[in-house]
Amino acid sequence: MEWWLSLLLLIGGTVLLLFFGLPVGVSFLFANLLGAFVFMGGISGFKLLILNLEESLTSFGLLTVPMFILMGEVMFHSKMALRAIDALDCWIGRIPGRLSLLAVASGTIFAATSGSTIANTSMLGSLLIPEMKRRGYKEIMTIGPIIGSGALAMLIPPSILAVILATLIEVSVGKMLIAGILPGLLLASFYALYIIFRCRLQPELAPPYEIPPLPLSKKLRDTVLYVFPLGLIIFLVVGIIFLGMATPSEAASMGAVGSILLSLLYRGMNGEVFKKCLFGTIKMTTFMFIIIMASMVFSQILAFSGASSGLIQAVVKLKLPPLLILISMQVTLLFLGCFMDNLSIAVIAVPIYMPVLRALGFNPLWVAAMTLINMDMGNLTPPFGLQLFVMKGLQPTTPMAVIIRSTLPFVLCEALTLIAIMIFPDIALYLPNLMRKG
Amino acid sequence: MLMGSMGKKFDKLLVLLFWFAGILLMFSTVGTCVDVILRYFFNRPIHWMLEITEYIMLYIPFLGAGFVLKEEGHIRVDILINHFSESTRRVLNILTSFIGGMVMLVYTWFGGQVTWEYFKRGVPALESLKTPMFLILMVIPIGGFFFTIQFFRQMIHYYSKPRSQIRK
Repeated sequence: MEWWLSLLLLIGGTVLLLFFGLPVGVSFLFANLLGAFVFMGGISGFKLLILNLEESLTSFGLLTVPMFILMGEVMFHSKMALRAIDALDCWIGRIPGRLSLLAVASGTIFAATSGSTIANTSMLGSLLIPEMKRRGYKEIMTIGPIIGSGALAMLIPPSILAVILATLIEVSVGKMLIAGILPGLLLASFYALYIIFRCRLQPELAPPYEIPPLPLSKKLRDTVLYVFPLGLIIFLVVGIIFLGMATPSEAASMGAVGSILLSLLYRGMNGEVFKKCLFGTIKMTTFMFIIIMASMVFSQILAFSGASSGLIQAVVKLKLPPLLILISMQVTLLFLGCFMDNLSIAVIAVPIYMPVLRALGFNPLWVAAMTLINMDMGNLTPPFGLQLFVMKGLQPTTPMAVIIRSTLPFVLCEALTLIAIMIFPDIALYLPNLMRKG
Repeated sequence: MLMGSMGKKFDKLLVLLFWFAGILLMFSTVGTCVDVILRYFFNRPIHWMLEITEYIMLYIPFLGAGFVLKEEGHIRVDILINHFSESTRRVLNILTSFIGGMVMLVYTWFGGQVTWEYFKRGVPALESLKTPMFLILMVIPIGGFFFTIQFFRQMIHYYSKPRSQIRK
């Protein structure tokens, strides 16, 4: 069979079912049956398929995914994060846009303890928006910074999507996670610079207000009590991975147990809360693992059918500058991001893109870092940006158009970060290159 | 099996499997931590922890799948179907539930066959524990079975929903 025909058959079949509302993972499982039947020798191919499914999931590295989800759930349900925001709040002085900056600062810290952008946005939103409104902040300085900072969770480890991308493109999970740190911090500083700059130009957007003076001893006490322990968890996860003391899965389970113990100390944990956390974790892990499993086998079938190599040859024959191919792929991802969720895009695009990009000689880690930011932007762009809907859920009375308009400058900050990484690959690659092993 | 009092029992089984996945996950979480601590400070790692965790990674989604489908927790791309009329959506939902059920039926059937073959031949996994392969593989037909049934129940649910509304 011609390679393009196999590609059309496999991708077309999946996409059709996908858009008719079959769960994403099951659509891929269907395509795998189709592929196994056509390319792997009819019915006997099905048995091979079962063994491939088994092999794709029995991987210790995947434990990172449920551990990061559990960590985020614990941080969220035990209300640990709430206390940390209060403690941070004491330190920011009387500057324009201080609550917006607080959102960025807390967003960065939560991003380092949780891997879910939705949890991050809804937490920041429910905590900070009421106070911002009370202080007369305009939408652009409330909704924008919160949506933008929520999205940091996808870049700064622990990031669930980073683990999934690393698994799909077969690079070291540890290096992939570390690769997100500098881009995440760069993005956070772009946000902060924008807020400060804009509020200096238009102080009415975020009116400054008097802050009751707090004794230094209380500030220090709150920071030690509520911010440092979170720092400890961040160290547990990121430090252990970076220093190569343990694998990402081991570090992540230490982080998960650490956050449970911490929530017990703060008396934020009981049977009911724990049940809620575990419930959410298993639910997310189940559907994500089915998608990952089906998609990994899908890549194998694509390769087996000759579709992957056919596509590579076709692209190479075009003789386009490789950078142009990379850029057009990123633009396509951005476009898909307007219609689909991240995980679905990743599992459809990665098996097609990665063989081509590898053949063109690009560093997969570098491409993956850009892809992460790209997915983040997809979350923030209309008409189907997930984060926009999360914000709409938090602020039902605010029109969608206003939410989109307020988010736009922060999307531009992300685009700027993406371009920066494209021009200076070291932003993503410097830290992973320092690591001794994955 | 599909509705009525049998349906309630089936629901209970789904919940049971779901929480069994939860117990397995907590076992891996705590076990992996203990393993790291024992290895780092006492130089006495738990050798089997990593391998068992790998198998648990396969068990979790298959044990949880049926219940998550019932809770409508699987990700779906809904931008297209949201634009269709109620009746078209109903037909599509019935159709996709049917396709989902058939797809999972094939996996359950062949999963069962492969598991049975490995059981008869007594093949161990190529890891240090030498766990019999059928113990690892069997979660695919077991979980697949519940996933399949739940898809068909969902199909019946979509099919009978409007009619029951008319009756009221």
